[in-house]
Amino acid sequence: MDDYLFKLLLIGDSGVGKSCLLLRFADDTYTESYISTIGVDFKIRTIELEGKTVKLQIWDTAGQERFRTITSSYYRGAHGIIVVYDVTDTETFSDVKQWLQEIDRYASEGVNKLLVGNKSDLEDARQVDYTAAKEFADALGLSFLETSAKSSTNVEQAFLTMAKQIKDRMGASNVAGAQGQPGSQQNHKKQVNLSQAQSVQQGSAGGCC
Amino acid sequence: MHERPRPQGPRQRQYVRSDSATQSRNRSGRQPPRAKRIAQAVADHDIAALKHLARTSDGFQTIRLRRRAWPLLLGFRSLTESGDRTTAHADEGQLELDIPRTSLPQSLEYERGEAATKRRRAQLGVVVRSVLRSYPWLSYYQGFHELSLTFLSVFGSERPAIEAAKMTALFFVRDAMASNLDHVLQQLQLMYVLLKAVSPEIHAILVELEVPPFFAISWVLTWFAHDLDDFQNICRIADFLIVSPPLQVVYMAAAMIKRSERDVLAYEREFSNVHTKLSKLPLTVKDWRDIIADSYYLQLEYPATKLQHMGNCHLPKLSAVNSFEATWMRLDPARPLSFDSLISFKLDQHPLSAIVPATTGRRAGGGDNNKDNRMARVIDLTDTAQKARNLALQHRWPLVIATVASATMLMYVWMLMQQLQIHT
Repeated sequence: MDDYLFKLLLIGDSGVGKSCLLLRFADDTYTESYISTIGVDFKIRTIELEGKTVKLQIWDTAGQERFRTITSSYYRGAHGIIVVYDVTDTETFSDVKQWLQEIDRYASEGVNKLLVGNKSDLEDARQVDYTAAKEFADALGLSFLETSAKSSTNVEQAFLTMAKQIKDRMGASNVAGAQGQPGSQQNHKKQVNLSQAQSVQQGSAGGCC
Repeated sequence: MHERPRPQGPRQRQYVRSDSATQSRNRSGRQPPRAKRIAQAVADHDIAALKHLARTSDGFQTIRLRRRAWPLLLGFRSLTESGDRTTAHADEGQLELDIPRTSLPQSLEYERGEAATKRRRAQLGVVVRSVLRSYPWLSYYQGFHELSLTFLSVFGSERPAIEAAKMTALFFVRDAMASNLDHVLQQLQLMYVLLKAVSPEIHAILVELEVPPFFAISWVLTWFAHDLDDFQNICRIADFLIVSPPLQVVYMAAAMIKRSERDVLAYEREFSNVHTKLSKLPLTVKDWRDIIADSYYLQLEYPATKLQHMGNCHLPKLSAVNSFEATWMRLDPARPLSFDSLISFKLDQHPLSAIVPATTGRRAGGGDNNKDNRMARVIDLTDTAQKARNLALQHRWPLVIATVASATMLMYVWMLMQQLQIHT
């Protein structure tokens, strides 16, 4: 029996390596050309954290903008959200602000956030400085790591950092919540209400069913 | 419910051809091998026979036969050339991110290796770019490249693959290529409406756990190509979907879930578990022929118009789903038309952006009562004819009776559609 169940969400521009990070963390493998994610996928890995068993349920999302209606309905149930950019592509770093806005808009209050700059093995192609990103993250009070799904650098740390933060928050705020499976029912109710998600994003086009 | 572009002759002739084909098979007792029948139907341009072959058993069986049958069924050369091919499309950036990580079918004849993979991906880029540049108002979605890859893998070269991807984009998945995915989400809702009718227990679980139908989005967007490893299965499904209305893939989704009812009902009742198990369902399918057959009858029983009424979930009139019959039926390779003229107005934007969303059935003001009544008649008639047809099939009456019944049903529906001026 697991002591905790944490739900994490990976978001960020298309092609920054969200699925590769997850593949590395959950299955410890890497493929140079991992197929595009369509909609949402998720994987599970159980870890040991300070003597407790923590089940991490990690949702991976499509990066293309048109899938945001779908992915945004998964924000609500997440305990932690990892925003990923590509250190070899400035644009994906500039878009981090937009992703953070998405979090403010859709996620539960107090959700833990982590900024991850992926593809740190591609030093020659680097466009985003570590220090610049670090300053940006510090200014917003975000934890920050650079990772490489390819070389495996910091991948484990990224997810563990996230898990630790959530555990600390749970412990600090609410013992009952930390004991069980935090908000598994209630959060789902909010998380996956399609009509809610549609009414926000879709406006007049919906009205179904 | 609809007809395919036909090389020549009036619409009615197809039924005659279909009947005579059926009879000749019956008379000779044993049927010639399937491959021969496919080749013969291709040689005769016998669309009705090809459609029947696409729906039954192993479909067109081999890549070689598909290369011959698909162009006829997809109405190659029915549209005039459009757009200029030199201006880049706004979504080409996204495409460039997706092409290099496209996974190629494993079971193909062409040579493997890094160089071959690179070449194939480059070809895929050419195919998708060409479709987008020809119709700049289409938006690219992640997954359209995988759908196009099915065509490229079958045809092996760009030109026919472009033609196939173009026809598919314009007539089958056009609603997914609007400025957003709203209308795909509506299609997925229609899958739930259908599921409620065919498997109320599963539907109840999904509602209770509030699982949205997003687990099925890649099925709908890529015709299962994203979800399956076996290229033969991917092609088998495409055989069927290119001779079906655009919403057919939604009926396949429901039919597949229904076929796995026992397993699904035994799932641990937990949101993420149900989502994941359902999203992986295509990989567990042992025989797609059953699902294809089931979904074919589901579509006859709950045609798109009826389904939209049942769920009070109406797609716009100019959606691919609702304009398919009217537009597709007018295709004729002997007299190529522009897509604009089929849709009846000049397109500088996607048809779904260019119009007001659909009126929502009976609530939409008083003026349309007469039309609504006539629509109800269309649906009733469809029902009656279908019941007769299903009865005939169930009791193994001579196939010809069933064929005549379905032909009559289709004619009635078409005539009433004409009256209703559903096209344009």
